Amino acid sequence: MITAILTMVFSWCLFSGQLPDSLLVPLCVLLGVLIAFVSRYGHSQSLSVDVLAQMSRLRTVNPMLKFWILFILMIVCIASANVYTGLFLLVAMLVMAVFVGGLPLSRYIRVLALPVSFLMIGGLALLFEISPSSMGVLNIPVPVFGFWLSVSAETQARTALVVAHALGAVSCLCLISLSTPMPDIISVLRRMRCPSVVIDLMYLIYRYIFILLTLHREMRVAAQSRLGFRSYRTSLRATGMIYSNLLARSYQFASKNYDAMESRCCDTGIRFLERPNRISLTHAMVAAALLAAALVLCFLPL
Amino acid sequence: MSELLRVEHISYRYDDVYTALKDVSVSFMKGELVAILGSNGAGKSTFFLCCNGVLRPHEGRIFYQGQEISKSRKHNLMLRQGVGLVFQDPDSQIIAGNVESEVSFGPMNLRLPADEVGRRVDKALAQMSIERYRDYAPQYLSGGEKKRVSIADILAMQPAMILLDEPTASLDPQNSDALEGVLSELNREGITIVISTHDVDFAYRIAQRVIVFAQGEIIANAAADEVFASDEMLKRAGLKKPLLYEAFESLQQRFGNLESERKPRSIEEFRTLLENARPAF
Repeated sequence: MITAILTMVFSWCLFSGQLPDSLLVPLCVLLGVLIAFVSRYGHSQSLSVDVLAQMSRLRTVNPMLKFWILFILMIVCIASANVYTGLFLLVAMLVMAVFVGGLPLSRYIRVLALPVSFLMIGGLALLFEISPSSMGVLNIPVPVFGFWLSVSAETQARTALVVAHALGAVSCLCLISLSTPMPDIISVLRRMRCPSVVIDLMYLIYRYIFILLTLHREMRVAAQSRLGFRSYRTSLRATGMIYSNLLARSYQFASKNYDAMESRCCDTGIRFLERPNRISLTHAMVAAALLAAALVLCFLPL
Repeated sequence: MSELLRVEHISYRYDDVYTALKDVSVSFMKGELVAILGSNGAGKSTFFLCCNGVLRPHEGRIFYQGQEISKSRKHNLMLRQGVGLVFQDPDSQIIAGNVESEVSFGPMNLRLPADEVGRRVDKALAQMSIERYRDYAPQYLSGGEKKRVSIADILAMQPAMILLDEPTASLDPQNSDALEGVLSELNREGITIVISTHDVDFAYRIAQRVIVFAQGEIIANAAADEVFASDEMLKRAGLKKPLLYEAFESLQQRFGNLESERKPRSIEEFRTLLENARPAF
């Protein structure tokens, strides 16, 4: 809901003076309503990204290809001097994730909504500047000090560029995290000669996030079923006990896990068999087409 | 049958205070299927960790294929490769982010070439019939599926002997039956299987030999029928007789000599026995 209101305010500020009011107001309202409608389920769980990544049809694409092409696209987007590269990537990534990857549109937008709302708050700060007169497109008087907070065409252009850069880059990041499960990303990092200690830790942390989360959920439910959260006082107590228990259990788990690794002859580092799919011609061509389009937009004198 | 693993007088203490194993001696033959019974805290898990070389017993010696296991790294690796250990809780064993990587972890540690690792992984997945979960992340598998993954983990290392710590503890009856089938199948292929459990019915059904632990000691080590005949020993171990064993005993007491070459181990055997029996009413 907050995102929806934010979208309305931000788009109004960004486009006011550039579009006639008769077009601007419905556009802002439409954007807001659309976002409110898509995110009406509210509870996007923090790990839904992992579930979505496992689900995506783009998962079988060679992770090295995905990683590099999106990395390069991101750089092209940030280096570009116009807003179109960013907007193109926003749309292209949405198409890739939703229509090629097979994710539900609403889930994709919900994942994107969080970084985008931060982006819009930052954008608002960029839009307004202090000016001594009401020369801007949009002016808010500050009564006591006698100056205006105003939005000018110049700040609008500047903000549009920054926001477009960020939208494009965030879209690229979203696509990689929604199409590549963490272990694949870790294996790409390993092949890029990331230190093996870091890689081992990443594997273990990824695995343990789920183990500890499950443990925590179980303990919470157990506490709830014994009325542990009936009042503020008991909630504090129960939460404290759950976390101290979680610490103790994670130590136990770690030592068991270490035994299990030892029993399977693990003595240096964690290594798994990697059998990534070959880069197919179609995938390479799609990647090249995306890159070409982004480069053309980037260098086009618009 | 040749001897595969022998432990002689091993003892183990946790933190030098709590004695988990006291003077345990036992040996396992090639191709055997043995059940280890004992109540909670009887020392079964510690025994397994010692057999696999993760824990080093404070006293005693371990022989693998006639070779005494010294402290050297080479011997330790030999023991860990030859004697696989499936942990009770699959979650404490599984470390990878997907099933295929998980199963490859053991063979990778054996420093095998990648194509050999691939072959072993495929074979182990097929043996446990979990090929379709190849790309699944462990957090989205059910308990029974995770158990299969944890066994495939060990199979991929191609051990001569597999120790399973309470494999049926958290499985539903259907998964438990499936597991029983898999274990018998592996045993037929010549792998020595040792299962720790406190499910006496399961042990009676599947095991050729039964070893009973109580307070860190072995108090019985014989054929299943022999072990379950001793009331006093079972009481000491905190165990009960298998239901079928007791049912057969009661029938025999009531109707006299039932004709059977051996006591029925499964419900099918029991039914066949009843059909063929001509009790003297």
